[in-house]
This record gives sequence, structure tokens and C-alpha cells, in this order.
Amino acid sequence: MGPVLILCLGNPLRRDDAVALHVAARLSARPEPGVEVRTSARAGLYLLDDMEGFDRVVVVDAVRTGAAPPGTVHALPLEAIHAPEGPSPHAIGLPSAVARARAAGAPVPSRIQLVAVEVEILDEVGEGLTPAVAAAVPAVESAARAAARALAGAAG
Amino acid sequence: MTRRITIDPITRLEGHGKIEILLDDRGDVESAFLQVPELRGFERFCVGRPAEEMPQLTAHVCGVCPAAHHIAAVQALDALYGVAPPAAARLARALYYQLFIFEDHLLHYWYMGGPDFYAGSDAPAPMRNILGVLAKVGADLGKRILSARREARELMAALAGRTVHPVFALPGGISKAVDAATVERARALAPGLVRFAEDTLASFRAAVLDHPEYSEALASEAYRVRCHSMGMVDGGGRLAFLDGRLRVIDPAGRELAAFAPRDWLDHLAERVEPWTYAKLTYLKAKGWTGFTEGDDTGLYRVGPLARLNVARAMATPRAEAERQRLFEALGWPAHQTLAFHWARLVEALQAAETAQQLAGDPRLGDPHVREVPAPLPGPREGVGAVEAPRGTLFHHYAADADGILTAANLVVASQHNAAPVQVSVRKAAKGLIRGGKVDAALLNRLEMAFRAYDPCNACASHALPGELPLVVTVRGADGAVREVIRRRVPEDAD
Repeated sequence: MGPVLILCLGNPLRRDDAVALHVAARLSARPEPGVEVRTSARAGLYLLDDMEGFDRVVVVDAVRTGAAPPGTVHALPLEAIHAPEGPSPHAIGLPSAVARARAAGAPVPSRIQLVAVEVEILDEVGEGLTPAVAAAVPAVESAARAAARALAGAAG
Repeated sequence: MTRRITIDPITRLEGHGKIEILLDDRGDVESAFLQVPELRGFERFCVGRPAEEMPQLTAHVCGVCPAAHHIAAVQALDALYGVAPPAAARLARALYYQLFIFEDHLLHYWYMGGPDFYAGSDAPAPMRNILGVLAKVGADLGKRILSARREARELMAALAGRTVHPVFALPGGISKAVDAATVERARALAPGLVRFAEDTLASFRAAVLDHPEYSEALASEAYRVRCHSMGMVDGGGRLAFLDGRLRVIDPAGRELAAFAPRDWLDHLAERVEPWTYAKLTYLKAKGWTGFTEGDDTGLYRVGPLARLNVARAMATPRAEAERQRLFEALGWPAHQTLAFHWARLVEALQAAETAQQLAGDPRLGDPHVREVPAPLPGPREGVGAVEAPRGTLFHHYAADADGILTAANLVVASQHNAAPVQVSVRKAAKGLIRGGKVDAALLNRLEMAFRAYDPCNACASHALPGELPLVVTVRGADGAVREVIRRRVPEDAD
């Protein structure tokens, strides 16, 4: 059992998309034993490179489902996300990326837990979180820590 | 107790992959448009910032090819400041970039080459069979992709500080000399990368040549667009990924234009259409001809197949032998979009061979890696261009005398291909809608038409779920919505 990875995804130039990077800074300021924190701005298949060598991973990211107010924190296993296979490898999502890598015989984590925060603005270039999302950062941090502890304590 | 929620990608990625189909009075297709999302405001965001921030800023535009933006940006800065980087810096940048092309191309081939992904469930049976065969043939070789890519990525990190978002290229050179250990590592590693690229190609080719039905599937009209090709070549007309001139050939292979990146606006023009944020590009020599094919069209394609079409030869011997085999099988120039898989592998081999040459260059480890640029004499412009995995990438900057950006324009591969994609989509729609009746296969066929272009959404959409969903809206002649078709999110498929 190696350490648990918390992988925080975000683009610092896309407004609310940077929320997980703020969470990463707070996680790193108070390290959890047995937990490694990484950040990435990459997509789809490339995230597998960030996870290589870890068996348990918590992914922190921004989502915009439109089904919940901004700042809402979702915590769920990767398997709970249903994504249709997209028409472009450029926009392949994490569920498909993991499935494809597994099919190709590549080692992928056995457990991936998602902590996602509902956001407002993703498609504008700019810096700074919207107020509701900024206010949710401590709650996202707590959820990420809880998810990592649960994975660390889970029987392999 | 897990609360299961379904994240509907249609709402998560507003506007992604929208196709609008307009019918005429008879219920036949008047026109069809694919709208690919565009990240808005990047150019505006850059104006007023120091130009030298661009290699870092632009690397964050895209979660897929930051390396291409980093290098294109620094080449634009070299031009802006009128500075020539020393040999060691040019070699290190080039080595990093060849490794990037190698690992990116192979990643896509090995993980995404599956039958359902590229051909789609609605593809002709021969296509599905051949790709299925490839998947089996490659099983043993596929295991080596992990170590080959890991070695390439570790070397990239040693050169550039970081694998993904590199932090080494500066106007006039690079930030840190390549140390002796890294030079040694590159020399030791390169032959294995060449072997792996060669073995991958050999397995692909054997499968293709053993199955004549592959060429039958390639001939599928949905995948064929007869338009011009554009790509970068070196001084000898051989395929180049960076530091070259752009060459354009017509559908029959005749040269239409050849120019330095700084002169791109003399040859290419951008056009704004009301239904998309993406600016469409076309050839000035032909003018805007709308979404047409053939010798007179103003449209051109970029990317692996286009690059092989325009190059007189590959830059390295093994890759050149493979390029000749490809065109013997497909004819030249090749317009079968699906042949891009094959073209990609030929390019990966050239990248590996070039990396080996660069690693062996005695100047690579030289400590002199930067010419610090002099202050600008006044307002200036600079253009950089590289061949990103999916096609030509231009960065064009204008700065004032203080080096503060007054304008920035990035032309990405998906923009060059945006109009040809529309041709493919329109062909598919016209073939499947007659008298207002929509064929059930429409969604898959439309996807098939643009899947192979691998359109980029020009931003780091590492989204969860991150797929590019497709919504097709059919409108009657009166503009009223007749039908909305969207891919259904599947229920648990455990």
C-alpha cells in the first residue's frame, strides 16, 4: 500500500476552473500523513500520467452540472459518473481514459474517488473565483481530506 | 452508502459539439454546421502583459498540447526581439519537441486506436474488423508503450524542468544548459525509441497490408475531403515540426504557396461566421469559396496526413521508407481522412530518429544557452509557428517599445480544419435526411464525419466527465426546431 494521491485539476486562467488549485495550496500547507498532493491542468488520457504508480487517487475538480447552486460539493466514486463516449480523443473524459488504459494493459488506480465543486464561470479567460466558489474552498478541502483518509483506511 | 448522481455532460459542457442542420422547403438539407466551443477572451487577457510571459501563459491555454504552445510562443518572442538563440538552445528545444511529438502520437495510437472510437459503431464492417485486428496484433507491443513513453517524459522533464508545462524556453534561448548526465541519458535512450516506433509501424502495416478491406473502408466518402494540404517543411522540402517554412499543395499535389511563418497573413485569411466563435481560415489565393471541395476550393487541411502530403520527403531515412510505403498503398496526395493513424506513426518514427540525431550532436551540452535580447527599438511584431500534433500552430504578437503586448493572435490546428470539417458534416447530413425524414443513424454518421479530425476545444477541458457530447438540432425552412437529437447518457453498464 503506497501513499494516496490527491490530484487537483484546474486551469489558473479560467476563472472558477482554478478552484481545485486553491484547494491544493491549502492541502499542501497542512500535509496529511501518507498522502501526496499534485496539481494538473491536463485532460483525459494525460491524467493517467499524473496518476501513474498510485493505486488510490482522489481527484478534485470543478464541475458545472447546472443541477446545483455554485459552491455545492459533490463527493462520489468515479464509477458513478456516466459519460457517453465522446466523438473526439481530444475531449475524452476520465472514465473513458481509465477504461481505455485498462483495456490496453496499462496499470491504472484501482480506486478513484471524485470531489467536485459546482462552479459558475469556466469558459472565460481570467483570474479569480466567483464569490460562492471561493467561499466553498474550505469545504472542498475537508471533503478531499476525508476522501483520502477513507481510501487510505480502506482494505485493498 | 453512495449517493449516485449523473452529471449530464450536455449541461457541463454547454455548447460543446453542437450541430445545427437547416432544411429547405422540401425537407432536404440546406446546410449544416458543427459548432466547436471556443475559449473566449484569451487575446484580450494577454494585451497589457509583458510579452515574455507568453510561453507560460499560452502553455495554460490547452490541457492537451501545452508543449506546442510553449515552443510556438518562444519562437514568436525570438522574432519579436530579433534574437537568434545559440546552437545548444535550439538543439535542446528541438529535442524536447521531438520527444513530445513522439510520445503524444504513440499515446493516441495505442490508447485511442480502438474500433469503436475512431470508426464509431456505425462504421463499415471492414473498418471495424481491421481495427479489431490491430488491437490484437498490438497487444504485446502495447506493453512497451508504457516504458517508452515514461522514458521520453522523464527526459522531457530533465530538459524542460517539467514534463507537461515546460518552464525552460526564454526569448533568445533557454533557462538552463543541458547537463552531461542528461546528454548521456538522451544518447542511451534514443535508439530504443526509434526501435519502438519502427516496431509499432511494422505491426500496423502488416495488419493493413494483410487485409485488403482496409483500403475499401478508407474509401468511405464520409471520411474523404478533397481540398488543399498545408504543412511545414525544412530548406530541403522535408517534413519539419519546427523551424521551417509552410508549404501548401492543391488536391492534385501541385504547389500553391510556400512562405515563411512571418508572412502567413499574405497567404491565409481568417473569416468570422455568425454561428461560431471560431475564426475559419482559408487560402487568399483562392478566396473564400464557402464549404466546397475540389481544385478551386479555398479550404485546406492540416495535421499528420496533410504534412506527409506536402513534404517532398521525410527528414530521416527510416521514416522516409515508411512514407513511401504509405503513398504506394493510398496514392498521393492522400485525402482519406482515416489514413491519419498511419501518417501519425510515420511522424512518430521521424521524431524518434531526429531525437537520436539531436542527442548525438556535440553542441547539445554547451553551456552557452542564451542570447539576452536587447530592449525593443520601438513597437514590433513577431510570429512563431510549429507543427503541433494536430496541425500548424501560429502565435502572432505585437508589442510596444516597453515589450508590453498590444495584440496577440493564436491560430490553432482546429481553426485551419474548421471549414473542411463542415464539408464532412454537411455531406453526412445531406446523405441521411430526405424530405424531412431523419435517419436514425444520423448521430453516428455525423460523428464519424468529424471524429478523425480530433477537433480541439482550444482550452484545458479536463472536465469531468469531459467527453464532447453531441447535440443535433434540425430546423425547418421557417427556422422552427423540428427535432433535437442527443446522445443518451447510458445507464449502468456493469
